[in-house]
Formats: sequence, C-alpha cells, structure tokens
Amino acid sequence: MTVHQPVATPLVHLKADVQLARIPGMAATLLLLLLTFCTVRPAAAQDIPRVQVFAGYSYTRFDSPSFGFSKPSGLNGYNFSPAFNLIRGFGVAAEVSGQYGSNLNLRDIAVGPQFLYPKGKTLFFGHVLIGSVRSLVRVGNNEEDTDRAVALGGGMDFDLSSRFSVRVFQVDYLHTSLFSETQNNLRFSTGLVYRWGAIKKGHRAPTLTP
Amino acid sequence: MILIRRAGWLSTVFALTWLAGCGGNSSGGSASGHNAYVAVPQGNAIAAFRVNTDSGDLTRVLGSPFGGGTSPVAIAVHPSGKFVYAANQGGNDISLFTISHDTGELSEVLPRTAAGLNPSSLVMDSGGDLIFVTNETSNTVSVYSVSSSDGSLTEVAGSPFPTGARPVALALSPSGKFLYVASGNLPLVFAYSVTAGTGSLLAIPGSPFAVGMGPSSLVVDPSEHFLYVANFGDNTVSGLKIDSTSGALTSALNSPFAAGTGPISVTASGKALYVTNLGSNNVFVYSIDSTTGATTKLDASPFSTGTGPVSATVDPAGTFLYVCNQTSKNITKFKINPETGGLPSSTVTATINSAPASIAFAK
Repeated sequence: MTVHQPVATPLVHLKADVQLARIPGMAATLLLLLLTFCTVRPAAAQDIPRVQVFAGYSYTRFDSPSFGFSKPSGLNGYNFSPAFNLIRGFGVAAEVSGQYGSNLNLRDIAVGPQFLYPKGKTLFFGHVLIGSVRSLVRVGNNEEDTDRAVALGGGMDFDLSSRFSVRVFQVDYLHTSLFSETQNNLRFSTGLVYRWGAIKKGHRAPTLTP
Repeated sequence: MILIRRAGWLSTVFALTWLAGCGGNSSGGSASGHNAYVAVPQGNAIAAFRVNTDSGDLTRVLGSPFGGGTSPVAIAVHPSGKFVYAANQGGNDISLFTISHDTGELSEVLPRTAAGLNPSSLVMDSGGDLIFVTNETSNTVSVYSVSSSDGSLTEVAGSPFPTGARPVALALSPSGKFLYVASGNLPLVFAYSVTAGTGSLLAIPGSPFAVGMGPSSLVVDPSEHFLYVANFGDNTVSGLKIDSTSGALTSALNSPFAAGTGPISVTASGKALYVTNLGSNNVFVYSIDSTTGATTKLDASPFSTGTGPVSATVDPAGTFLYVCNQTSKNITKFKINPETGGLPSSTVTATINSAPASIAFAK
C-alpha cells in the first residue's frame, strides 16, 4: 500500500514505498550511526550543554491497521524531553509524549542513552529510549492497553542563543506492542530546547563531591 | 578526519531518510483490505475484523464486538460497503448498522425493522437493492427494498410471502431472478421468481421440488446452472439443474450424493462445492461438472475444521474459505487451491468469546 507522508522536513527526503521488512536493516544502520557518534571524536570546539530540556509539537503516523482500522492514523500532540549529558557525546535522555487523534490516543514515557555530535551551531543527536506506552481506542466499547515502547531516532538542534536552540527536526521510529499486536510507527517532533551548563572539550564525567 | 565527519553526517541523513520512508507503511503483520463481520447470537452482537487480503488473516477491530439486536444469526453487507444487516432471531427484526470507513466500527440505526417470527436467514441481491429474510416460525419470506442513500429497509408490496413449513435457509441466484427456500420440516425446496423492480415473489411452476431429508442450507453455483442443497437429515447433498428461463429444478446427475455427518452448510466458488458437516467437524470439497452438475469429491477431502462448524463462506476474491465453529468459538481459515478448489492449509484465524454463527465480507 502506498501511503503519502503528510510531513516533510528540509533535510529529509521522504520515501513512500519502503517496506517495513527493512526495519531490522534500518535499526542496524542507526546503531552504526550511534556507534559513530560514540567513537568519532568531535572535531568542533564548541561546548555541549550539560542539561537540555526540549518541549514541542509532535506528529505520529500510527500503525492503526493493527487495530483493525483501514489506514494509518495521523496523531498530533506534544513531546517533552529532558536530557542530562554526562560527557561530551553521551548523556541520558527521557521523554514524556502524548499524541491524539479522533479515534485513539497514545501516551508514552521512556528513557535511554543519547549520543551527541556538535558541528558549528548545530548539534546532531541520536537516542534509544525504552519505556511504556498507553493507548486508548475510542471505538465501540472503548479499549485501553499499556505495553512496552522503544523509540529509536535522532535529530538536529540549531543554536539560537546561549540558552535556547530550536529543534529543527527529530524523527523517531516508535515500536509498540499494544493489544497483542505489533505496531511500527513514525514520529516527527519539532520545538524549542532550553539548555544550561556546558561540557568543555576534553571534559570527563562529573564526580560527586561533598 | 574531515572525511570521517562527513561520513557521519551522511549516515545521519541516510538513516533518518530511511526511517521516514519506512514509517509510511502499515506493518507487515497488519491487516489491509476489507472488513468482515460475524454474527454472534449469544452475545447479541456483531464482531468486526479487518481482513488481510494477502494472508487471509483476521484482525479484530478494536472496540468490537458491537452491540445489536437479540440473537443475530445471519448477516449481509451492502455492496457499497456502507451498511450491515443482521437478522435477529430472538428479536424478530432486522438490524441496520452503518460502517465507519476508517475504523470499521458499526453503529446501529434504530428503530429496527420488523420481520416475521424467528428470522433465521438473510440474503441480499448483488446490486444491494433487495433483502430476503426467512421467518422460521411464521413460515414466510419477508422482502425489503433497500435505500441506497441511508440503507433503510422498506417492506415491498405483498410481503411477507408464504412458503413451506419452517423455512431455514434461502439462496438467490446470482442474477437475482430466482429465489429458493429450504423447508426444514419437509424434504422440499420452494422456488420463486423475483419480479424485477418490485421484488415481489411468484411461485415457479412445479414448486416445491423434492430434495433429501431436513434440508438445512442451499446455494446456487456462480454460473447459475445448478442448485445444491445440504440435507442434514440424511447426510446427503442434492444437486438440481436450474432451467435458465423458468427457474424450475430437475435432478442433476449423481444426485443426491454422500456428504459427511450432519451437513449443515453448503457454498460454492468457481467450480468447487464446499459442504460443512456439523457432526464430523469437517468440510467436504467436490468439483462440479459444469455441464451436468455432477460432483466428484476431491481425494484429499475432507478437511478438518474446529468443533461444531455451522457455516462456511468464501471471501469475495475466492481465495479463502472461512468456517464459523460454534463449539470451539473460533473461525477456521482455509486457503483455496485455485486449480482444484482444494483446501491445502488451514489455521484458526480468530477466536471469539461467544459462538459465531455466520460471517459476511465487505467488498
């Protein structure tokens, strides 16, 4: 089935007819990418924020045919994601996200490692977040289910000032297993990032001092 | 170093592009295609499923089953895919549901349309203009015209039409010209011509026609040359040749022929005939001689079903056969061999909390 993507970002060319059977390969590529983030030494000299707090709009293309629907559902909502960076290039991110449509909604909470790669005024990042997702389906006898969620994705921030940057895009492959079915979903997010603290180049992990 | 960094950015863009492209499709295991609706008498409800047209698998529509009338036993989907009709055996009426295109959800339109006593089977013509219902206790057939705009039913002039004792099943010829009604208490089939435009029924000269004991189900083959009747009382199937002009019936070659124990349902697709046997929990498959109507049981037949199979339906594409099993409360899906009509593989594709009676597909 050909599905037209409703959202496009300047840096992402959307390809409509790729089969989801390729997702294992895709995941491998993304893991490779994350490893690259970890192993390649950042060449840029700018600081990485110690703490980032992202809040913004998100759109999820939800795999609702697994619920018996005739086509995927477009859900609109929010994404709130704080992150604490331990060293240059690596930190821990969490997210609370909610997306809503006419017949169903989706809320998730997840946490996991984040990988960073600065370049000039831009900061590329990737993450693997694992957590829980809850869905309410408002069809007939309303049904609700909670199950695990895995978000595999990344994006790009662009500095606006010393405190703020704009999240130009964040794209996540969101894997869920609601109602004993498997869903392969795609989520786009954009918004503002507030940040403070800085990790200088060559900085090591912080130590706790009394 | 610069090359490595550039390779990192390129791989970032590549991976994100890949992610974006992948998300536009539904998952491989998800259903795509059309909906199926199952009458669940004890639940007073209709269960809804999304049918994967490739695998034939049924995915339950979340929120299903949807409440309806009392003891729905027979079901039909309007060819527009907008409406579902159910004969409520316990309520003596017909339910109309509208179908949500996006979610498959059924919403019942009230009030229900009155039928005779104990409506037990229902069939719609291919154009979606008329619905025929047997009323088992009233010994009548009710005929309704269907509004194409809102799906509402209006009983046609002269309806209900009297028929034989305890009409339990009916079959409409694909052209809509002839209607055949099985009389459960008599070894007879009553035949009617359907008046175009009005839907009124006229008895065909020579009707009723003799069949085996306790006819329980009947079907007209797609070529409209033959009528087959499952005789529950004597474990046989009667084959009858249809006069294309008058609709009258004559016995076909090798009729009646043996079935399993308690043949309760018969359906046809292509050149194959499928007889579901309640007592032996299986399906017999026969090939049909297109000239004589004689049947030959396939060597691999019978094929096992769940426990208590009561009805079998072929999907609109003729690719899968679905059997509703009342005792095991599930639906068995058979893949149809397009060459022989055989059923090389089967699996339980849906389990329902309450016993399913019949299944119908939206096209």
